[in-house]
Amino acid sequence: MTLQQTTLHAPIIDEGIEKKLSGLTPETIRTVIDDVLSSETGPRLKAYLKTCVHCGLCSDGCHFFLSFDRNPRYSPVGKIKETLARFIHDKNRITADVIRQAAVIAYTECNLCRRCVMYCPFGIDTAYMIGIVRRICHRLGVTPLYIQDTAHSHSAFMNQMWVKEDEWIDTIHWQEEDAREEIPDLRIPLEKEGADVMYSVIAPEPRFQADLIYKAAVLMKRAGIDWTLPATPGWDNSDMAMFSGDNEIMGRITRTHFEAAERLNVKKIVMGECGHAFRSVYDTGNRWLGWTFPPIPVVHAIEFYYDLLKTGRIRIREKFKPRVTFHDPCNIVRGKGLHEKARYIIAKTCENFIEMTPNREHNFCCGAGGGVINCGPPYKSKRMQASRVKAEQLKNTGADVVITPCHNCHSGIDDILHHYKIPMSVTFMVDILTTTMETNP
Amino acid sequence: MHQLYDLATGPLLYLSLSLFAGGILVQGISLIRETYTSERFVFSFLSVKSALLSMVHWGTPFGSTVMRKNILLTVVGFLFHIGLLALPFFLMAHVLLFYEAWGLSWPTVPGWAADTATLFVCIACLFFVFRRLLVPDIRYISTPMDYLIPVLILVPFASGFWASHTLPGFRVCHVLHILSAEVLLSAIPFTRLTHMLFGFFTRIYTSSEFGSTRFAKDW
Ligand code: SF4
Ligand code: SF4
Repeated sequence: MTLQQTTLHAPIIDEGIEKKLSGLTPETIRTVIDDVLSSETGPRLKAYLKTCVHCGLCSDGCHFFLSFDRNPRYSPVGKIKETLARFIHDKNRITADVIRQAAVIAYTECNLCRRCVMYCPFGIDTAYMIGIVRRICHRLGVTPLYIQDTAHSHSAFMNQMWVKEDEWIDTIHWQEEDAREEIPDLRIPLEKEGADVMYSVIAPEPRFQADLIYKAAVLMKRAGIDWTLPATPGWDNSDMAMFSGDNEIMGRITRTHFEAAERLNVKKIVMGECGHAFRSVYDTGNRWLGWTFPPIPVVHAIEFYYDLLKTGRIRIREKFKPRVTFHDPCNIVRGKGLHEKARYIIAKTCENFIEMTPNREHNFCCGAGGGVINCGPPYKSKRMQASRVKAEQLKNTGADVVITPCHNCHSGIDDILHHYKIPMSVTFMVDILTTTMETNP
Repeated sequence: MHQLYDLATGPLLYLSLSLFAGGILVQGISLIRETYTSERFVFSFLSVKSALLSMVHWGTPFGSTVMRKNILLTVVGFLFHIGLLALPFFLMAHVLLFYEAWGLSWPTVPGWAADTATLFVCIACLFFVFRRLLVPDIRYISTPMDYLIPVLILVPFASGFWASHTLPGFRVCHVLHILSAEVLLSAIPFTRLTHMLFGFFTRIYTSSEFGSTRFAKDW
């Protein structure tokens, strides 16, 4: 099934990108590029660049390329040609215009989803290279306005959405109060030292989706988990600085998160249903801090739910009836291989499951990941165009509900369903679990 | 012509062999050394099991998704690489040379098979050039060097075929065969032909990360 492609309208003017550009000379640009390349990259990048035989096999891996009718500009290697390869080969001819184009490509035309890596015979990591382009743009001060605002919020408040400490605590109390109407002795324990689990969420939860904290609390209560939330910074596990190229702030965020867990002396961190946050804590931010694997066990919600079901700590009362499909989030599938665990949960909780094609490691990105959705409304139209193959893939399942355990995917898919008028709703795994589980285990 | 022949089979042969071996060795060693000094974390992610598993998949025709999507390219690509790497070692005429030089010998491919394989390598080179010219996303990323490399491979194979069949002008072709093979050999460490070496490094790292850190398949 081929869906109708909408055309792009007026050129996008992004203040965040434009603001610094006028002051950039080719000399300054060169200095920054050389500095990033020499001090922040090494043989790994060199090997990728030398090995690439320009065979174009990675093209079919990229949903941008496929959705834009195989336009060469959107192929993974095409994006590298216009950005990093140019930075390296065009010596002193990198002007502000080239940087503008590179920023647009790197921030809004690549989801860093790593799907193309599986299509390259040499395993060349284009997502990593686009990350370096973002790093260079960040160092030049050329970042899209919206994602930069988020990075500022991380820097000032250690959370993604300018949530003040008292707002966070108030939200928790409010959710606890609401949940106690359902379960009178339910608590949402803040700052409980020595608990087994520190649960962490992304800042959009207290801001817009506080019911997810409520649901997590119900689940913890039913499963009898000894858990806590920090009242101090570190409660937010999200990390947009990782995507804006601000590695220093990325490191601060991950460190604050680990330190909160350390201070509360918990046995492990359980992260809510978010993919990018997991990428930061398990992978990118963690490595920036010098760890190979996180210094404290970190578990994504899917692994946590899987364990709860497997060990019988929660039991299913009645399976979910509507036809469901599952969207594998890049950051926990290509990022942690949680696809089979997710399917186990679905098999336990849902009656009618329809696989989408392709699936598991080969699933298409939702188009929102890698900070692309965080570049904001100016790019929404392009993001929708780039999601055409995703829309077709969703529509072809004929499902009523798509489950996806990731905030970015959730928002991205919600936009796609509206834009392409697909009669389907999107839901988190916790929604399915809390509606199907036994209330008196 | 004789002088040129002597030059080609004497000093130039040694020059190209040393450029090839030296180039590969220096590049390989410096990559490992630089990785050790500046990106040592790479070693902490390496996994023999994941790397082997991934290489088996990528080394088997149609063992990865992208190969199943590109049937023609997979068939041509595999046969081309096999021909390219095996022919120089298993041609009767070449084995004779090894025998004369070092007294070593091993089985050879029959004449008809060698001819077919040689012609196939030549056709494959043209196929790669036309693929570059005709497929828009590949043309978009292609540099002059990308077009030159298949030609660099085509010349020694075509001239070798010509010379071995003593077709008109075979003496010239024979010298051309030796010279162009030497050019090709020397070019390996300094062009994208290095994928022959670096491709293993990148594959080992990516498959280790995929298989043992991210627990996902990369094929
Ligand atoms: S990482 Fe994803 S979005 Fe980026 S080029 Fe590769 S496939 Fe396309
Ligand atoms: S598939 Fe790999 S080698 Fe081929 S063009 Fe893409 S990145 Fe380069």
